[in-house]
Amino acid sequence: MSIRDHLLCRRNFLAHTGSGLGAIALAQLLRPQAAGGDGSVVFDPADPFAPRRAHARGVAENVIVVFCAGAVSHIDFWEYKPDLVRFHGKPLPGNERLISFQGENGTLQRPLWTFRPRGECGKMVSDIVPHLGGCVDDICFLHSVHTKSSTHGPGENLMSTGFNREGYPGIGAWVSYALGTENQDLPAFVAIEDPRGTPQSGPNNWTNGFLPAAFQGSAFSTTRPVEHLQPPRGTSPEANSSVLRALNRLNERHRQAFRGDSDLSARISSYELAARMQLSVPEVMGVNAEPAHIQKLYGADSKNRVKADFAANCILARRLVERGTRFVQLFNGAYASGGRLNWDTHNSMPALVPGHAEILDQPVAGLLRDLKQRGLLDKTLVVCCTEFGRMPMFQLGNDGRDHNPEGFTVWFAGGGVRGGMSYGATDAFGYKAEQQPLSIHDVHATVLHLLGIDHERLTYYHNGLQRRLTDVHGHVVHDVIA
Amino acid sequence: MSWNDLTPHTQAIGRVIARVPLLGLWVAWGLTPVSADEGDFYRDVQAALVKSCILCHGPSKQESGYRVDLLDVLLRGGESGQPAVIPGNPEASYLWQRIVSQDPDQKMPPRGSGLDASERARLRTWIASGAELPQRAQPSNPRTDHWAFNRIAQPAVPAVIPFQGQLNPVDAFIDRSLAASGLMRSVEASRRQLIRRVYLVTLGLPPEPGQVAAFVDDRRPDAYARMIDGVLASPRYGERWAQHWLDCVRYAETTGYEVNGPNGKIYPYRDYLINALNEDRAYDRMILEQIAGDQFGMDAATGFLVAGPHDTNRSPDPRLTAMQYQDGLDEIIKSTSAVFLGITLGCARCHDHKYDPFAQADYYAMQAVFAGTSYGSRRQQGAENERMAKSAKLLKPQLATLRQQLATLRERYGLKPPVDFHAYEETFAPVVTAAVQLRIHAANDQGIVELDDVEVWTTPGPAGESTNVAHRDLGARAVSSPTAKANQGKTADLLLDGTRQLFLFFRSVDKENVWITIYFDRPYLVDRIVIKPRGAHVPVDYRIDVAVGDQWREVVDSRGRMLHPQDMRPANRVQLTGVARQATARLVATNAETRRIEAEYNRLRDGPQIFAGRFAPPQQTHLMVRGDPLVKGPPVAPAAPALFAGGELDFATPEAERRLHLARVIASPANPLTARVMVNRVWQYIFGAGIVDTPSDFGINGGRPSHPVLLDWLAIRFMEEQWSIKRLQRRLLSSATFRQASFSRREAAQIDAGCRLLWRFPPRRLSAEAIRDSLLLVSGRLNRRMGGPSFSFFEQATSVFEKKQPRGTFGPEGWRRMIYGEKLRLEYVGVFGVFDCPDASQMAPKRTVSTSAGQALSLLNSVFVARQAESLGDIARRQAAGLREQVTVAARRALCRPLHREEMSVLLEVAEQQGLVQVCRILLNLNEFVFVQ
Repeated sequence: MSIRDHLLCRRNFLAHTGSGLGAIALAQLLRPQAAGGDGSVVFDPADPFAPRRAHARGVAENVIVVFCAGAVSHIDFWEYKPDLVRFHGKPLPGNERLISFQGENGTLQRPLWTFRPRGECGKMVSDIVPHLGGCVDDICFLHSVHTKSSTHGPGENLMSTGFNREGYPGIGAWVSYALGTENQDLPAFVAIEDPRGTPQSGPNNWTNGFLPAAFQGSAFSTTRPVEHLQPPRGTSPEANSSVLRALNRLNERHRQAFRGDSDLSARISSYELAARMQLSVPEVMGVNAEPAHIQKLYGADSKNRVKADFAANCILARRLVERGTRFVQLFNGAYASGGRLNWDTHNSMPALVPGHAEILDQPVAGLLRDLKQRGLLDKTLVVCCTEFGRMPMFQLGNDGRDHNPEGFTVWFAGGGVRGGMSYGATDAFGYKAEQQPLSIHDVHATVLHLLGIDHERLTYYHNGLQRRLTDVHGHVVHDVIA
Repeated sequence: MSWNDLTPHTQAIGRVIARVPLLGLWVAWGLTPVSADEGDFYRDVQAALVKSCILCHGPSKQESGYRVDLLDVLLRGGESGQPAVIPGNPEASYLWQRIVSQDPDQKMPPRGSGLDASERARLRTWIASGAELPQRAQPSNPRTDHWAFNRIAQPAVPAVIPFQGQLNPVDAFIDRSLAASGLMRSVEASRRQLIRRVYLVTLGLPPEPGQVAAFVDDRRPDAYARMIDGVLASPRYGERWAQHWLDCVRYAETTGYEVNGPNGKIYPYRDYLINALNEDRAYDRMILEQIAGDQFGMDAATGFLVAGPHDTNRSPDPRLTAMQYQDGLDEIIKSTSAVFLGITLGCARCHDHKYDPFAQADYYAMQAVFAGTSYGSRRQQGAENERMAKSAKLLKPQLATLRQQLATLRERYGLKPPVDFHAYEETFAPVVTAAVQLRIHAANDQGIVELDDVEVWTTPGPAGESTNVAHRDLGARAVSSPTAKANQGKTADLLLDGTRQLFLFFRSVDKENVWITIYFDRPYLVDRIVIKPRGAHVPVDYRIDVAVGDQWREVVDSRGRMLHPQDMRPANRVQLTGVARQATARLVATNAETRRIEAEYNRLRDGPQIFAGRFAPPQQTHLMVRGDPLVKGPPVAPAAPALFAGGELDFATPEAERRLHLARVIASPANPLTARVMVNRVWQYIFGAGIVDTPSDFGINGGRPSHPVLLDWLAIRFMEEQWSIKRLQRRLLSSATFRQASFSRREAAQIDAGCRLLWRFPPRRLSAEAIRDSLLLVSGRLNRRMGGPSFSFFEQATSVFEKKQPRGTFGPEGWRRMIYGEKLRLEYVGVFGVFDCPDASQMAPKRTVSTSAGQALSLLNSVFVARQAESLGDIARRQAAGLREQVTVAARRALCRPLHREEMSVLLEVAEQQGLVQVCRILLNLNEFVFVQ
């Protein structure tokens, strides 16, 4: 008998005898609703990921965040600024001697690649992302996002957790705390790191912060498998199942003496989930089993190793949401490296950015198209974000752009947002968010809203306050919702 | 001190000139009763209104002239003219109408969910039943508003009939509240359970089989007390309790933030805590030491102040820099106020505290206390320091002799002074030229070259006027040999910007044959060049040419200069004008020897360096408007929060005096919070939950005490017993409440499922540290060496930014207790991080406890646990011959008890079929192993 059969049999048996685990099964049927009186979510510690109802009926059920670590240049990719061409080589009017993160800036620099109208909506998009340009009819661009910090770590923190300081729960942790997940055999929240390495803020992007640790994102990817998934070397499958059986029997016997202690039951359940994950995780990681035309769609067949690996991560993201994982954070770009391993191109932009763009473009476009052709895009919100934008000038004495927290672009696709739309704008040169400025909190409030969650009512008590993802801010951007 | 003498308000107002007084909030709270018998108007009604409405209808803003914090206004209503509350008639009450309105323009609050159903029900009931205000409705000291801000009174121990033997006063309190709920304490746990519980709770390690047997067989009447005494005297004790404290202060050995690099040597703070706790240092003394230990020769203790995260990423951006300064102090304020006082003063950074009587001025008054404190390494006073100072003194003459030798040699060879690492000047006969060229053959370390600026000055005119013509504003340009493609600009142009900038400078790619050519906009008469290096990678072998016609003509070179002390070229690479080869070699050797002695001298002179509070004369502190780091409000003088009535200090108070003052206010027996907060922490770590379940928030929004009188009684005892933590622990550990069995009882669970009333000892899962340490103890591998540098949980990384890879296996160094593992902020330790181990980015006064599949996988499958299972198997095989006996030995080590027959048969079957190690693997995964019961 396989482990799974064994567990299934035992579960049935217990459910029918009405003993302790039967009671757990019953608790799963009586799913706790989100939100107690103070906004805290009530959940069963023995079953923290049971699907929970949102505050309202949401359009989106899953989220995939594509996080471009290092800061993508909005003015070279997404937001067309003809005045940058016209005033190329002139100082930024009104800010001739602007000191930004790394110091002095040079003169205005025209977009490094040509923009042209794409899709039926005719959105102007840069030639550097030809595949994503072909998806604009499904994309909703938010061109007026601004942030609070001009350094990567705090910027990433704010984008992922709502606070530029560390130790606040990531948005994926909040969402899985609020809603649980649909597939009890897979983690609710998965962080997929870039094949080139960990993003600047690392695990703080997917931390549970002060939420229970169960809601921490599980970090694995096609190039970095789940830790401790398989038994220690030298342990035969028979030995392993015999260990699990005996362990279960002894734990069960012990629990009988401590009837009514849900922590003990929770721990027994966690070993069952662990056993199921030993089967479900390798299954979902089986990206290679995808047919050739799908691999090709994402660019997983590319000769560019990094692109192929990132494409495989995009396929993994799709496979996860397809199987019910609630929230996937998919990183494009690693840590500070002089712009080699992520988007942080203070120098050599013309040389470095095309390499990064190639890795991003086809795989993410493939993800959008694949989700769409499977009918998953309607209920999967894809968010493409970065920690801040880049300056309309090159840095003094250099051919790269400095950090720009004053204005940049985040885009949404699927999940109930309007496609082919652009919302808000930076000023004529792409420096400051000017029309309909959006804080990160507004972006978060909107993501939660699309999932049916009221960002003001999703709370957790910590050190004196009912904490929220959106702190005390945030407005839902209703205009972008279809 | 009474309300009339000195209110927090008048203090705050006195501190801050031109500050809008926010008088109402606290006065309003003064109107609320404290007695639960009065229906608790505050809790049932006003708290809901304060939470939902205070931002717009409170002390900061009074939209439509209405506010919910002043009771008369709450009833009377605002500018609408309609009475807000008509007693007995909710439907006619304007307040009720607005709260229940469906009209989006009418409903209150306009955004958000507002009052929930039960809050509305309570409000309605209150209005319907006549909107009675509490009886004692006159302004009073805000301290009396909230129990925790009250002075601690000496409560009487309740008289209850002793149950199961002698009575510890703790049990009298517990029994009284149990009886009030119709509950009874459980029977006493077995001796095996008790010793395991005491060890795990107090030491974070299980007892060894011999210790269990000794206690079980000890027939003396005071066997339990003796066992407790032994445990409290164990050196393992400090290691366990220091970890709790480190959680509270979010101690880590890296900075956090983007860089998250090493802090420097901060572990002396960890060792200070372990030693102080083992010695049972008085807690009030520990407060003084951690805030102002430098004043008592306890530098390491001030690691407390700088144990939190701080951003080391420097930028010329003024807003970012100002924010980093404020954030650095914010962490210190948050630690000090939350850890010692259980208050959330950090909430008052941008505005007055929304719930508690702390003004924004209180926040900045504490910032003024710490204004001279910064993060970094400092000299550690003490014996080591004195030894080093003495050695430095002994070395000094040798250094002086060597320097003298160099001076003599320089004179003998007629050499000019060496280049200056900050800036140096070359002069030459005036020449008309449109370009100069530097040819650099070597830098001092034979590496690349870094320069901030090069200036070329015109020959002074009649009035002495001279101009730097190598400046971009005059149209100069520069070209060079290849420059580095670094993260920031590193090109030759940056030599001409006339400024030293953090990231913008020249950096060569080559290590020799580096050249820089500067073209002026036109020819000038020049006679002087100033070279400004960055202080490392300095050119020491170079020549300077000027363009004359289409030829380069040398005007000066460096070979007439004496060697710089940091010139590390070997003798065969050094050429000095007019100095023979042999003499050059001698000069280089003497220079190298001087450098070596000087480095050693500097090291000794600086003394032992540790990462602890660094203190300097403070700059003026201002209230920052809305917490904005660039918007200065009025100056603020140093003081403890006004609630504690410690008085404020003069603006000119010296730095250390400020901290000493604050520490004394905190450690004063008159402080209503300090003892309560600490007693509650100790209670929490023993019983699993605090009497107040928000251990670092005793404010109005914090949890209510389950046993308020007991808490006060313990706090008084604690202070009476010289703030002895061990005596407090002995009292709790010897209580019948602690000693009762942990089995659940259905009838009790129905009344008090969360066991707040303690009708049993509440079982709980061990912390990450206790699990790892227990595994090592049971496997016989635990290395008990105390203190000193930490071992690492991670493989060595090549860059600070790179992902840290967890180590799979460890040697004896890594078999030390987990508190000696290097704590990296923002990283989860392999295998054990998933057991709710905080990542030290936020204070963790109470750990979350979660159960996840990741935990199961870690204990089942990790190499670490597999190794401990093997080692446990080895011990069992060494100690017993037969398989059954071996299983018994292993189980005794892991569970502190013999196996039942059924358990034995299950395990024996595994042992026979799969081997003893698989049995050990089972034992280390059992619920019983990772739970304290």
